Amino acid sequence: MAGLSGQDWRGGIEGERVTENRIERSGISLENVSKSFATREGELKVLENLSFEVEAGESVAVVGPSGSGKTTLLNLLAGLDFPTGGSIKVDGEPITGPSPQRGVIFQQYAVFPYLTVFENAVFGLLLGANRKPKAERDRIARRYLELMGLSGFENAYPKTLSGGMKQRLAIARAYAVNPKILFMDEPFAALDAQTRALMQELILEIMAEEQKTVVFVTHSVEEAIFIGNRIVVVSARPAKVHSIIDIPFGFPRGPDVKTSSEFMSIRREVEHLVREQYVLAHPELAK
Amino acid sequence: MSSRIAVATSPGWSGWLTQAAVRISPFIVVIILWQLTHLSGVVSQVLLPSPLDVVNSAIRLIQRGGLYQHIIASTLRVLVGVVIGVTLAIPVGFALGWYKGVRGFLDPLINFFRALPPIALVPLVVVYVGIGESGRLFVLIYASFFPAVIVIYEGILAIESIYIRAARVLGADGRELFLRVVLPLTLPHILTAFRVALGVAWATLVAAELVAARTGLGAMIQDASNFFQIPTIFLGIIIIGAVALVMDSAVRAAIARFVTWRD
Repeated sequence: MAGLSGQDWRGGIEGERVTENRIERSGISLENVSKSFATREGELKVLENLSFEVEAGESVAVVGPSGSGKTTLLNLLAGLDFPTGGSIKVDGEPITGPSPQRGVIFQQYAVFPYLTVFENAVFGLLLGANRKPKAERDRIARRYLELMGLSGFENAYPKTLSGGMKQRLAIARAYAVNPKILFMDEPFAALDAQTRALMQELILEIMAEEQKTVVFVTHSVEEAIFIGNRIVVVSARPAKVHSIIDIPFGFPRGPDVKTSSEFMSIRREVEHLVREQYVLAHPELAK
Repeated sequence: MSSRIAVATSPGWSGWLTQAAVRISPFIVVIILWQLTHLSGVVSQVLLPSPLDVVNSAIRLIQRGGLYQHIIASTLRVLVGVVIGVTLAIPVGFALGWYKGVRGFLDPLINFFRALPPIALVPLVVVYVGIGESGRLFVLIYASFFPAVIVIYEGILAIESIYIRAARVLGADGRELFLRVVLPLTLPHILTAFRVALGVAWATLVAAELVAARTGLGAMIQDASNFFQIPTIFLGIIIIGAVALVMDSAVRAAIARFVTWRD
């Protein structure tokens, strides 16, 4: 079931897109990844023997109870922190630090408040690691601003933008440097439900256009099923892989998928799994 | 009709006038109260001159020459001292904010010297470098440096790590991180450091001039005190307040002008 859906997606995309010569994807493998932090109360184990693979071009959602170390996992993948045990490899190479090959979209947007919308979008292309001639970087920045519906706001400062617009700007900024992999940490958690639904559709569109490997963390099971090829359910802390669920829907996907009976039954199943872990993590809430 | 158009096309001008009136009105109230107190005779009229007496003493000093020199001497001392003090504070503030080791070592020292009132140094400076210009400059640089360091490095500590992480995952190296993220986020704090340093420097300068100077507003006040010219003392105090206020407004205007991005 899973293999098929993954195949569908990649097959479909490679057939269509050869014009924009930007397609280069990477796979990720996690092997017995552990992470613990030293605290005053002793060692805090956040991740324990976490293993799974993300194939090139795949979109994998990581769901689990809050406080289960999902953000820690994403920091390790981004190279902003390092595991205390096990290994994370991208295309067979261990991660040694952050890289523009691996973009990150943060829940808090993290757009630079002192730069205009355009300056934010072009930020990565001005860095030595991905410097492009002016004409090209302007073209790339404008393209992604347009894709994210921000044309006409080029000279605005982030303080004048809504939360959804700031996150769209962060997505444009991340895509502009053309990473092979994108990590998203609860990218839409701070948005209202309506904005969130539209952002999910927008991200599906840009994913179809760009076909990058995507790993995103969310606590919304619905979002995970809607955007992912596969869902990795992690357990309560210390996080282990509890189960991996393949999503049988191909791409492109529209919002109508959400109302199909298959979607509903997967959602019920996954929500049940997450709920079990949530109760383990927060026993005081269980009845 | 034409007046209507004028109002409609230049709301900025009338807005500016209203704002100016709002800013000036508290001073007018104080001057009126001052005049009333003077007239009431509650305080001896010799000890409390009227606002007009102060204006007369200003006119006399201008005619005799010397008032401008006093103002310019003091203002220049403050400006030079603050510019040097804050300029020295910028790299030190960055080093303290950026490197934990430097901070751990220097923080207690910085706090000790900051807690020390700069005026307390004046007698020592007089012994070491005399009562000349360089001694006063030293005290002013000292007075501006420490508060500026504190403001700048606390500003750097307050930078949210999310911006650093966002820049690093986009590929920024250490130099780019500093120039493109840390520096712009610290600019408002550098300007605030100027404001704080100006305030401290004025307070220190007058005290330094009271002790050992022939020019400057502090010296003018001291001379007037020796000759019991109370209106001139008032004049000196008012000018110090006015010049300090103008400088503070200028820095605030610079902040508003260069830091438009802030909420």
